[in-house]
Amino acid sequence: MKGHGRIIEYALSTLARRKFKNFSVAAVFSVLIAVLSSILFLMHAYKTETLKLLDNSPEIILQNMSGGRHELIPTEYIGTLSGIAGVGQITPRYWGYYYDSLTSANYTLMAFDETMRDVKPIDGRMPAADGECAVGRGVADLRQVGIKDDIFLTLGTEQNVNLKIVGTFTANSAILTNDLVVLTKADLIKFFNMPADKATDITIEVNNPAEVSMVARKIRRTFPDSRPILKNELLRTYDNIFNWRGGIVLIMFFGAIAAFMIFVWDKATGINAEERQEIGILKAIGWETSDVLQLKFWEGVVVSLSSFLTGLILAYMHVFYFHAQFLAPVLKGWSVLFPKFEPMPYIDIYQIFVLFFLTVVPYVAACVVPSWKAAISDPDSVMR
Amino acid sequence: MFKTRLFAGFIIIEVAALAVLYLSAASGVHLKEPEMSLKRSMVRAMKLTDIAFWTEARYTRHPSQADFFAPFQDFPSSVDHFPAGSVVPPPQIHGAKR
Amino acid sequence: MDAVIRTEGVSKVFNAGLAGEIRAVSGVSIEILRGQITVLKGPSGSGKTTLLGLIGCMSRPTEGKIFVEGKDVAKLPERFLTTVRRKTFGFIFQHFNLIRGLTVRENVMLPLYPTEIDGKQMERRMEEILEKLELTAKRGVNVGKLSGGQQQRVAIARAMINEPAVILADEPTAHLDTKLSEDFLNIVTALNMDGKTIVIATHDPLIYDKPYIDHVIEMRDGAVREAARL
Repeated sequence: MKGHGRIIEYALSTLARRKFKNFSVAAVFSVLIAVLSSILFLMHAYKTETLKLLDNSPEIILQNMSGGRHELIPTEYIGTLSGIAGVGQITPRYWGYYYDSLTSANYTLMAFDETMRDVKPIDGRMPAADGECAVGRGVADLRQVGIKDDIFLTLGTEQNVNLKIVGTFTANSAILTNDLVVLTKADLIKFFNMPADKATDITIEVNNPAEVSMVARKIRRTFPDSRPILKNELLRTYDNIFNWRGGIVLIMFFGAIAAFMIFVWDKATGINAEERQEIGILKAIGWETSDVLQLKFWEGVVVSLSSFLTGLILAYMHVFYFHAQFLAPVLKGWSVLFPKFEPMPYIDIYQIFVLFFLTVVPYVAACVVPSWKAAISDPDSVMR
Repeated sequence: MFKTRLFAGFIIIEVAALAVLYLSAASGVHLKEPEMSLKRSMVRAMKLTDIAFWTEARYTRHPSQADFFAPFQDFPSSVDHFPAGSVVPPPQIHGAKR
Repeated sequence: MDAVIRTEGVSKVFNAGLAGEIRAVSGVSIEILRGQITVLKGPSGSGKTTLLGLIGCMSRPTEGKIFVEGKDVAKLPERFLTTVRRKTFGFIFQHFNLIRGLTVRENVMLPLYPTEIDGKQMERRMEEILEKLELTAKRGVNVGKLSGGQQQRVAIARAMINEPAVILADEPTAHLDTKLSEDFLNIVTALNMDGKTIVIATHDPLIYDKPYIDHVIEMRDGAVREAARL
């Protein structure tokens, strides 16, 4: 152990001799790790939260299709649907989009249903009578309104409503409710001028989750024009969206990654004359090949391990304390109405290990491998 | 052995910092568990299907329910590309409102 | 007196079979006796440095045998060669070959770093040697800041730290003026008094004309021209 300890000590001395160079390498390495792990942290946090939440979505959403487009669905379907074996609760949903020209933003209008009565993440309450509404944090902020204020929505002379805000959804539920305006069904139908016998879509619960796709097939057979969307598809969509966004950003940083790889490759394929000379001296004064390789191993470990850990710390602070300020615009995208919320600190240890094996290990290898050749050659070269 | 101690100390501090951060993350998740379960029951009660991240277009506000023909989107598990999928907002050309 | 090192028909060929083939050492058979000062004398290019490298186990001969303490090392695998090198030899190189940027202390102790020797013992040995070579005051100084003579003394200290039986020096006075060369010879004779075997490769008459040189081996074109026991 004494020998190993002194080799580590010597490795540190060697690195300290080229302070500027090694600090620059470590700084670049740290930043690279920080960027990569910021992307991984943020995407994982968003994805985990989203998937955890949407796991409670309805099993099946049934849309009516007409001419390849999503159409309003006749509520008379409900009677037939309830006759299909395995189908549980069936609920029609009434909702739609509203472009608010005042604020250049899109809101999602949604009809109140009795099941929503006890929703908790709300200040105030849900609408109880016509002319009342609850709005998301984003809508309230954009329109600069709060509880007891009025909000006026219009689509033309006939279709307009003036609503009293009786509740605002809390900021920490913004990921779900930021652009919502919840109003009574009567107000919504009047505002959107929807026919009385139609709904926007229908949600269907399935008693046995294993039968979902079978139930969906039966529905397709019964209503060839309809399109059942399964919860699985929904979760898969979000999984893909976040992976895709993370991937896009990784590609944007491809230049940086490539530069680093070239640097590592350059290191791996050749060592300079000075390093070669030093290896020769060490060999000449009695160091074994394995001692020299151990030295190079430690030189690599010192730089890459400290950079890796520093990078991780920076990434964590960046993502979870500073709300990923540098990456958020790219990773989250753009919207007029964008939810302000802190990512939940979900962390995937597995990702950290993968990053470790993709950065620290190649770097250490790049330090050891080229020295190998110098270390096994005869040391008499230092005499010439 | 001074340098070795210095280095070991540095690594220990960093690992400890990471451990603290990780524990604070875990406890953060734990502390927010009630909030999460409220939000989960909200999803159930309101029959929500999507997150309110990108509100600019139907297929970005509700990616899971987009039309079959939305740009590049012919499959429920396909992904959004435009416009909220882009990185920057659309440009304001000649003072026109976007 | 027994021979510490004995060579039998040793040759070293560089770039064997290629256009630039060089026969640096050719059929050399010599004996280096324990406790003596031996000088390898000859003009540059005569193969003294290569021969010094061969007997110091720095490289292996193309042909022939080399016995160190009676053991043939010519065919030994690399690992054992290193051990022999570490246990038997201390080297003083022409260009000193100190590691730049390190202190005197670190440079001197370097050969012992990978060994299992106790840290305190290592320090004690280093202090002793530094004192002998009047380097104690310089122990914390970066070797790059030392004069040529001081650098050579550090190189000598480094060669002595593993208590070798044989000290090999390659053109030790090439970069020193007369005064410093004399100093060097004084150190060498002192080491010889302590029982060390010394081999010096040089073409400096200042060295091989000295009365206390036991053995001069004159080389030319890679072969021994004349060996004189004085």
